[in-house]
Amino acid sequence: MICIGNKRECFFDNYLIDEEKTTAEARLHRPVAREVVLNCDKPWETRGIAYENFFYDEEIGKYRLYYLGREALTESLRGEQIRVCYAESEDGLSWTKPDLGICAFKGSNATNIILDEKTAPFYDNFMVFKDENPACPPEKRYKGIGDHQHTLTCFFSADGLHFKVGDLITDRGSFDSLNTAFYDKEIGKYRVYFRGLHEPGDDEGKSPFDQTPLALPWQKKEQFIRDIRYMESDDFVNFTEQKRIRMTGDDVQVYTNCISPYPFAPHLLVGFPTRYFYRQQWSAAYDSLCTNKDRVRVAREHPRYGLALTDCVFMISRDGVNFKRYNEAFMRPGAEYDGNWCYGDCYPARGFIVSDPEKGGEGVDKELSILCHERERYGGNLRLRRYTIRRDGFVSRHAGEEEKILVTKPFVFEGEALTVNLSTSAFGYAIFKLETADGKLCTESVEYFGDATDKPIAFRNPAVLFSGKEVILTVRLLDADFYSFKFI
Amino acid sequence: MIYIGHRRECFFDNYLIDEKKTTAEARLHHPVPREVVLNCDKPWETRGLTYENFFFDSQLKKYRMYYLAREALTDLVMSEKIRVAYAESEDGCRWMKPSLGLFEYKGSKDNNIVFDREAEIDNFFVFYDENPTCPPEERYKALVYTETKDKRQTLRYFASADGFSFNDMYELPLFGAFDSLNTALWDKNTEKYYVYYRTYHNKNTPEIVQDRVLAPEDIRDIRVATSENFRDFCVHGCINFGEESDIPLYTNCVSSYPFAPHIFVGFPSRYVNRGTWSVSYEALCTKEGRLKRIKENARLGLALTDCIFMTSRDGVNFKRYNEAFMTPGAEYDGNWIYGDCYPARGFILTDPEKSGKGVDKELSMLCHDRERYGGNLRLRRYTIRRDGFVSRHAGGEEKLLVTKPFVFEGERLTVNLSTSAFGYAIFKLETADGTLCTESVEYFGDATDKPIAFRDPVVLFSGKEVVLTVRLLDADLYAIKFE
Repeated sequence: MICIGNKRECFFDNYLIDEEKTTAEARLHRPVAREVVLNCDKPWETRGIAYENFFYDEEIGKYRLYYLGREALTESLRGEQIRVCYAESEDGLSWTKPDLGICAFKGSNATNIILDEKTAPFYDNFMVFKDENPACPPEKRYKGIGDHQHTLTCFFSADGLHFKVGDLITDRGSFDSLNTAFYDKEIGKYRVYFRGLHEPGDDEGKSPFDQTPLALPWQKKEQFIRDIRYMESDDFVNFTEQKRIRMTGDDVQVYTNCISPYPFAPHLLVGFPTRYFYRQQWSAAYDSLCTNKDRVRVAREHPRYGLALTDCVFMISRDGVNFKRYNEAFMRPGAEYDGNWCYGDCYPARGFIVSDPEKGGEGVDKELSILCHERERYGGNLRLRRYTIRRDGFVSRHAGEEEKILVTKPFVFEGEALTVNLSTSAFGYAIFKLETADGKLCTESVEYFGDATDKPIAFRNPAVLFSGKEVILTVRLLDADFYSFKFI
Repeated sequence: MIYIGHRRECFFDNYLIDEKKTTAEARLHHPVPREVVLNCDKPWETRGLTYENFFFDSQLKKYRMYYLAREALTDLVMSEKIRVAYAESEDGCRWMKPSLGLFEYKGSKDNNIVFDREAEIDNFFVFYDENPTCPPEERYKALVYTETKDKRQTLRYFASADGFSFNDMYELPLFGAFDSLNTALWDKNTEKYYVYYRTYHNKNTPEIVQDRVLAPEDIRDIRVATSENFRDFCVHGCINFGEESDIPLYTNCVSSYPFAPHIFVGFPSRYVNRGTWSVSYEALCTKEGRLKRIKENARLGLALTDCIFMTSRDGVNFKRYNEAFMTPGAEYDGNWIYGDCYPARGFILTDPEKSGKGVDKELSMLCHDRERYGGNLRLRRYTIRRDGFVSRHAGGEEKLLVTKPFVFEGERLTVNLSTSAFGYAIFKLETADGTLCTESVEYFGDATDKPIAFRDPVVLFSGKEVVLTVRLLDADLYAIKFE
């Protein structure tokens, strides 16, 4: 029996849905491109910015962003030295790069660099989280993980700025894109997701790194399929054996995972892996694609640099290991211009910002902003752009011009009132009904319309009468999207 | 047999689609709210702006906009007096209100008032007449709702040589209510004028209600009349939605779609009066303002409006989407009112937010909203892909689009296509009896005029009857055009 208590349940998966009776389709929504919020305009980052990750730090009342910075040596050649840079923002929209005085660049300490080749020889990526484990000592409150000399290594900090190299997490993997780690309050454990590889057709979760740790040459890597590995830990010192996460659908290549607990329903783990697709052969389709000249240039270095393309998909898990992955892209490279449709599109930054919608006024509900850089290979300096999407808005149950129905499996809630994340047109509606598991009507609502993330729904009989009992929620929808519900 | 020549064919309707063989769904897309481009911040328009309409004037190289301006008397009461104001813009994003010096407001002619008459008006619509036989002094044509001295509602024609000074011409020989934005256009294909105007009919009969005021059970509708000379009109009655239900519709916003002018598109506002208060209104924004208006007249507080998309090939028979094209959107203290989603008539071509060299333009549309209930209106820009109102869509599973047999003229195919990196579109031309003519490789990308190369040159099949089949995965196909 499903007990949802007073948790918010989003329709990212069909955990709660009786698919046999439900006719409202699961509709994936895509984020809307908004303004550029950060340019890599400092000399030490002109060929940055990459593997951005951020979180909101309540103690200082700011979003804190970490990203890699690289110099441009020539237009197409970037420096080998990778530095970790830092930016902060009160609203997630205007970001500043403070002069931290931690690492020098060309003799000056006035930089936003927090780690460089002197403090920690870096290979590829660095992700920071604030440890919410009550047992965490203050000097390790901020934890970083990074690809450090081809191993996944942890870093510690008391302030989120000054990091010290800690212990090895694992050397069995291919860590050269953003790995993620966090403390999951729901289970009281740390979860770590990192990049791995497996042989095509392998279903055992074996890894070529089981026998040969440390870096494989890329030629060898190309024989394998990029995947996502998982470990958990009680103390961030001892970790379980690694497992390959399981995703629905075909065994496609995925890069960075961007997994985090969904802030508004933290029992749900959401991820935004980048899908890597290498067509291998030049065709007329590349002839008609943007950035053609640059593509030919980088394809000379290696064909895949020019031919491979990336987009981003959405996935969701309730146990951290088994994920439902949508095969329809969550982010597409978008309208062709001289800087996209490259190997490097659609690597969203890990993190969510809560922001005001463009069209709004007093009383409007916040929406989510996510960040993603663009122009990874061509078209000029990289820049970080804001995208917006409705809160809980990755997937809805949708009805267009015909009435559709959503029927849940039987579940037990605790609470006095129902609130829903609902959007209808003026003409559309949602009508809510609670029934017992054997189909007897408990109570129902009038026709609701409107557009709010926490709309209170009044039933003819108070919902509290059915709290703690097994019920089925049935919703009739017309010209409406239903995103989530929560008993409070 | 369908002849498309080298016209762009959009998938707004299923004119070209073999629905039995096609599995790719028709997906309606919604415009994205962007920034506010115009505020009604002049004293003569603080309770404006409404019934905005604009067009690109290729002689002046400017977008030219006309809108109604009203003063605010109190927070909720606006002046009876309605003036018409004017704004112009080179890019459609930054608008200026020039000082026209035409009409006096409180002792000064330093204002953008372009039309001001004794008679009561309700809406003012201007179009640039591209009819080659149009005399220069009538190049700019305005349709104006006026009430006669005996309170008769009429649609009057005003003409102008420059779009600034309008001369009273005559009353159009049409019967109607006319009290929301009526529109007109000259259609190059049929060499006729089309006028779309508002009236209402009895619930059970399409007859125009002429002899009494609107009753609650009357249905607001859109009528169409055509003319060769803009003087003598052939009235076609209500625009025809076939078997669709008879729902009240306001402003029509009909125009020829600029990128496929043989297709008519419209964005009527849907009027929904639920009639009684319920707990759903309790949970809706702007409750206080709503209750105030209900005291005035129940429907002013209870009725809600949104906007739908419709399309036609003959200007009379329309396919209507019953899923909203624009909704009132996230609730705040200024929306979910009788008055949401009345888009301005007109399209702007703009650069997308995320772009660089070589990017395709997208469409911007304008629609007013309120900063708060009873507060000033403001005109907001919305964006949507060119040809992007409806696509044939495939998500995570491959879907098929199959056309009816058609004849094209041209040497190559271009398509308006968006895929993911993983997705694709594969194009195939067959004869009407299913013999393969030629096919393409797997295409991916995102462009409004993407050239598609076939293994054999397309020109070999020009002028012959063919069927186009497209396999789609994680992709939207919006339009095709042979050229």
